[in-house]
Amino acid sequence: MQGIHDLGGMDGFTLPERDQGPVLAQEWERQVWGLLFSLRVPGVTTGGRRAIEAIPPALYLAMPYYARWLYIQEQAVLASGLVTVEELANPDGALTMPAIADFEPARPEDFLAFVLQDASAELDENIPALFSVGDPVVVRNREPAGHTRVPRYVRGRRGIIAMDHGVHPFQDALPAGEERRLQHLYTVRFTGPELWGGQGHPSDRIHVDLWDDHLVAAD
Amino acid sequence: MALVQEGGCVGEKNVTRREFLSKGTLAASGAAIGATAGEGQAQDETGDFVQSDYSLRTRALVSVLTRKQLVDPATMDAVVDFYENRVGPHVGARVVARSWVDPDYRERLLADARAVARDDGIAGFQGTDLVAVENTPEVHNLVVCTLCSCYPWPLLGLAPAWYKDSAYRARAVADPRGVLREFGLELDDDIEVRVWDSTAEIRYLVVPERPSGTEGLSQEELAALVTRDSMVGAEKLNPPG
Repeated sequence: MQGIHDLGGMDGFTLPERDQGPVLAQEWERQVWGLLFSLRVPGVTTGGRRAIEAIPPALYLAMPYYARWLYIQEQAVLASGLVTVEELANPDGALTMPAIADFEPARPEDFLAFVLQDASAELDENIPALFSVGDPVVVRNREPAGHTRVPRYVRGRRGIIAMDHGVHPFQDALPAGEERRLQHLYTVRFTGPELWGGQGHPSDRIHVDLWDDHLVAAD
Repeated sequence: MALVQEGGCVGEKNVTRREFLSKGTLAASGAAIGATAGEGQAQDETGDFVQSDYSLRTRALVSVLTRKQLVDPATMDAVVDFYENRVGPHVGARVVARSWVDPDYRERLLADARAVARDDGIAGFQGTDLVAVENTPEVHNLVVCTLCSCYPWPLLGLAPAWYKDSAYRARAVADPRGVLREFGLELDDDIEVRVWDSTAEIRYLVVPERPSGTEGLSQEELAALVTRDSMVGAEKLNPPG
């Protein structure tokens, strides 16, 4: 996927000041964030970052961060059929109560149990690693049609395995005919010049987390 | 006034709220939806205008979901309280300060931050698979998420706006020294800059260098010196005073 969200290396953006105020600065931001972890309804799937990546590019760039989370939640409840456009347009007007058998909304304790769990993504699976720390690798140019964790700026580039994090769920959409399989996650180290040519600083080391299926052995 | 007219780039001036919702072009339609508010509410500041629209949309969404009993407002409050008060840079600062005074702890932190976070009871959503990287006189670390906004919430709380800004995400991997220079930190050419792009479930914590002149301070006093941005690598810590 060559998505608008894949911003690494893009030119033309102006760096903001490092804001030191509250991270949830506006009341609507607090509400959007609160809703994100409270909206647990059968049939309502926000899609998370994948849905954010699917926001049309011009909208994506124009939206502040929390507006993206607002947008995907609006889209999710509308897609579920539990909320209609008319109701969102007239939120104080008449509405149809949904009928979901035995539904109880998420309680504060449900949220706390979720957020505090010591839930490592690492899978307890005995799968051999294809690469070892120090191995030179090249990033495959797979271009799956959908979500991928390979930023454009490392595709086809050569790096070195810097860390092996064990077996982690592979997160990419799969190209046709490819099966999801258990595999290791690594941190791969690239030099500035390898990624950015003459613009790259020779003492820069850029690290990207990639899986076995993203990599091939280099000479 | 100008903004209301420019809203036409998104949709015609008199488009209704319903039309926007149904077209799935909700978000960037801020100015155009605002245009339906009438001439009297035209504003000069784009930010104010768009912001007021997000407020309206959020209020509508929350109101409808609450009235339908699909969402418990108490849960929303608990979420906000958790991220505003319970987690935040004060958690990471305690880890960093202890790493300055306890060599065994530091060694464990740098070798296996996940185990340390678990032992300290600070592991949690978006921070369990933790890696700690140390700044030294020769090495400076900087954390970014170019694809979205991944950040170690249990240790640092929610990310600041600058971290999630397109410019930071675009430039931190290509020109980290330029970014740091604009942030007020000039690094010599022979300093190795290590950028960590959080593309998987690993979350990175920068352990900044202990500032000089802090020899007599307690661990608690040291923790008070550790800034949020230093734990992302966006700044170095200054001596106290």
